[in-house]
Amino acid sequence: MTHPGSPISPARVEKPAKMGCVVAFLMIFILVGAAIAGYFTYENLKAALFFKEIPCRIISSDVAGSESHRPHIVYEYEFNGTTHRSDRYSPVKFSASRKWAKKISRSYRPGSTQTCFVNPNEPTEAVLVTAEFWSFGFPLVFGLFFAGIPGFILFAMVRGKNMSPEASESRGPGFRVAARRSMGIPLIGRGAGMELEKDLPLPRLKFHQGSQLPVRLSVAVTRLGSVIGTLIFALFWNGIVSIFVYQVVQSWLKGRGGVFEIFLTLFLIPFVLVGLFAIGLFFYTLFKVRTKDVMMEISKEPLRGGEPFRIYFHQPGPVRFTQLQVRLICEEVVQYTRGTDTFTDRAIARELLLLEDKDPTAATHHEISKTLEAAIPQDAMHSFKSKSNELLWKLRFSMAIPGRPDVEHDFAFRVLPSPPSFVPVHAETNIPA
Amino acid sequence: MSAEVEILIDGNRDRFLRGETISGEINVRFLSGGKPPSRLELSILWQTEGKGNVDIGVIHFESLMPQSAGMDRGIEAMGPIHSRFSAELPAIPLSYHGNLLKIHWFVRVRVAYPKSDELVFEKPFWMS
Repeated sequence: MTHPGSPISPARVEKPAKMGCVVAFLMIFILVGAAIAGYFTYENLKAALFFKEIPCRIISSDVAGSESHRPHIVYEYEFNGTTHRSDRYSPVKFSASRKWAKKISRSYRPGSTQTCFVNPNEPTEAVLVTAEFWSFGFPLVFGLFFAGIPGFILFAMVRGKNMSPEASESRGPGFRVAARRSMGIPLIGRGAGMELEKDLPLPRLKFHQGSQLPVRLSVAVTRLGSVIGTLIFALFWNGIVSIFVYQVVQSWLKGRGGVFEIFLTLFLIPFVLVGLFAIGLFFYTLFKVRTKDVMMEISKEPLRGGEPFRIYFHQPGPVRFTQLQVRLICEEVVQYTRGTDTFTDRAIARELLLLEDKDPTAATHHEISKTLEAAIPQDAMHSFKSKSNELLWKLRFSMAIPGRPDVEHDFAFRVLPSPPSFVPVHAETNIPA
Repeated sequence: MSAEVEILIDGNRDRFLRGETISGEINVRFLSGGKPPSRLELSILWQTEGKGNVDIGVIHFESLMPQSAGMDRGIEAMGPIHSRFSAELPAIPLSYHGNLLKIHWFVRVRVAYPKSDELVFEKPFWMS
């Protein structure tokens, strides 16, 4: 921190990003793509512009190739009093499907007279077509595509290198805010509420019309999504592992109990354990889903620091619980990159317990509905969302159910700053005893 | 270092309310014998600090490079640069010091030299 009165600001040295390796890597693709496009274009244009059109006689016509196919058409032609024979169909050899090759070979019946194109400087060089899409257009498009994408990335990188992070970011939302302000559009208010997250660094959230209170909050992560996710993972993992397990079991059944089989069996054990864990995780999330969804509604959204509001929640029964809690939470969520991996870390910046019901008897309730009064703390930090950092306000509904995994649902909403003051904003945890 | 930069905020303030106008003056003096810069930029921005990747949001940006300045004319031709700035601060984000995340506000001057390191001069302020 610099002292406010310090006349000369201290300098920090920043090294510009080196991108030599990336440029070299991209250049390989650009050069290969350009070479493909250039070669095909040159050969086709040469034939189309300079080759001479003369009649020829088809000797034979069939399809060549086993994996990919091309028309194999042998033809004879006379040029400057000399008879020549060629089997070249197009300026550049091109193979594709058998259907395509067969269709072309059928159009050149043996014994028929067709047109071919001969290089007047090299009469042994002749083709039946000069600029067909498959031999000309397709390789050209492919080559340009192959070179174009890395070329575009390289262009953006070089352009970005000549631009500071501030200059690059000055085209972002901060400037749109300034533009809206200059047009007299309110930045925060009821009229601008729907566009807040477009112009300001706020989280994008979904809301619905409530039944008891005006705004119904959406659950942060749907339980059905987590069930499907764990199911896909369990099937994928166990599907792959089962192939190897099958091979090992077959080996043992056939009486091959050698060193290799023993090693493979020991090697597979941790993979099988992960697979069993995945199956267990699937059933765990499935049991959670069996507890019906909680509905959470609030009287207003977005809220402001210091603003009182009402909360209504409804849990359709029948349900048993030993403990039920509703908490107001402000959570810091940050994403950081280490090497090529991105990690997420979370920390609770503020937490207020709004409701706690305990029922040691775990009696069955037909349904649970409650309306609560709460308030956002006056000095609370507002919601915030940038590319890798977030301050997320949410209501957390949690329930301890005997014999089942605990239920926990987060319902996010936005908090805007309270009217201006010089109150410093700090994180703190505040849970009443 | 081949440049000295003075960032002065009017009223010598280091605290502002959202929506207020921040204004001040930038004085840049290039030291003789140094290279002329390729970019000289002023920005007013917020920046995150902490465990997460760094994010920034720029609310005011301008290039301070004089039109007459040229790479071939040398550092002496540039002379000292004086520039005033003024910008209205947005509603959010407010300055914040949390556990994993901090949000800072700065007036920043960046002096970039061709194929070389860049010098960054900052004057932090608190916005609430």
